[in-house]
Amino acid sequence: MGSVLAASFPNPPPASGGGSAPGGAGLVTVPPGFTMPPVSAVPPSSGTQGQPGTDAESSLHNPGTFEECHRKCKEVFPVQMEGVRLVVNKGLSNHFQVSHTITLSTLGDSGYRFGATYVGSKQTGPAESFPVMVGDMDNTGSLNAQIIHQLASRIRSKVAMQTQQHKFVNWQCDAEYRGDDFTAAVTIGNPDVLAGSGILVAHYLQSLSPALVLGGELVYHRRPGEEGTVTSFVGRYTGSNYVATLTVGGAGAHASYYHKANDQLQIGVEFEASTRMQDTSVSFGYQLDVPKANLLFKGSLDSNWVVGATLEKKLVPLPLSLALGAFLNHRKNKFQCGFGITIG
Amino acid sequence: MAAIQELSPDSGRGETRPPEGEIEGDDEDEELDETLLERLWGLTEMFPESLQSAAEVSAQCSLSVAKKLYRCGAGSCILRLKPDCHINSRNNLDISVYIFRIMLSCSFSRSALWVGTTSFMILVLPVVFETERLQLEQQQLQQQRQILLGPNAGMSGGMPGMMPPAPGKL
Repeated sequence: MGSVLAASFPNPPPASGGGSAPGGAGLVTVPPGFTMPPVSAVPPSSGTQGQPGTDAESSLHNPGTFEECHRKCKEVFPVQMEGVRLVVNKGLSNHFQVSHTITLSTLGDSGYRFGATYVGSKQTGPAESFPVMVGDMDNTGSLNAQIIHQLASRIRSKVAMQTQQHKFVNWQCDAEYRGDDFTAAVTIGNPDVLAGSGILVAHYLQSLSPALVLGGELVYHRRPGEEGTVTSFVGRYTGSNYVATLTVGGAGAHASYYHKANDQLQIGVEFEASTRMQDTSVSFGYQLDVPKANLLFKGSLDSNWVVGATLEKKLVPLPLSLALGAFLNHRKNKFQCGFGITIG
Repeated sequence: MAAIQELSPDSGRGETRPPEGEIEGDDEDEELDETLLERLWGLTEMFPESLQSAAEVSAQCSLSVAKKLYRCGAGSCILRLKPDCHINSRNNLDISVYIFRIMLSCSFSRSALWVGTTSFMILVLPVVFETERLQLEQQQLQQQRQILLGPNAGMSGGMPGMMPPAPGKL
């Protein structure tokens, strides 16, 4: 069931998308009124390997997608939890999986969410099959849906949409081409032919050496009476046990460093500077993995005086997993904690 | 009569005899009333003036630090200095600057202690608990294995007891 789990949403997208929710991929700056749905990308296959040969270029691997450049570092950081969450996952067959989520929250709304994942039978790799259809519906009727399909041997496409109750908030379509040592992707977000508005995002990533990857992103947004372009460049260097990434663009700079100290400890350091908010922040995070104790602990420390941690423990004889999280903001003296249980 | 005339101004002078003599005379009366502390305090007068004032300043400052290490009221630190202490005017500014620094540092030390404790509690404590629990469990398992399989099988994956040595030549 590896492919089914891999394709499901890592966190359910927030139901209250609204017009001011920050966008999803990379450093896309979208002006207010536009939102990019926070959809997750399908994890990459091991990459289309070039033919073995004496040519230096053929030893280059596919660099992956643009969104994944900062992902390794981001995964080390804990996620803020609030309230109580109960998740029941049930696999009905090799292709189909269903999940029920009950969220009880002190700050927001409590609700029930039903999710379903279908994985097709066209197998492209050991962990991937296509098409993948992921859908999620809330008790208020808000729907999130994604369809990912491999159209040809190197072309993959995704269609995603998000509604809030009955109103469509986000709809986007993207196509990605994976070459031997490069990846190109085009995304169209919220196209509205009648109003003449929409967002167009183009990504290109090229691996120049086995360790170095460079790329760029171009965002073109258009509304009646207004249009603009934002560009940014990304560079990623992979060492023996570390990955350093830098994104510089019109929206600011974002640098991240991921280091794998040993089997149990992984460390991430992130630096973000935003021109729109005119502020910078540095975060330090670590992940401690103790499989003998069935424990996964993530902690983070921020320059905004925010300290947070998440602890996940598998309660072994039963297929239960307990997650506890706590976040403390020293400057504002605010504390938030939550826990969740996952069954199955 | 110069001698007789001399007597009258002399009597006036007699009233203003040199003060040491007078005080000595008074001292002899008051010596019995001095307490032990006053006598010890009098001993300090043998030290030079600068040393006395320096010792006074440092004693006052350390006393106020010890008192204010928990409580911290704005402006009250200066007011709580003993009013009857003789402080040299040139040291007044130094003392007030020092006390302001103490005020800032004691609220700093309090909040630093709070921030440190809560951050340690969130970031480090759960991992410590879990690893200790794991160690205890492993120890227990080892002990159980020892009891079950004999003292030589205490090691993980140990063989179930050694075979008795083969009988030698009879």
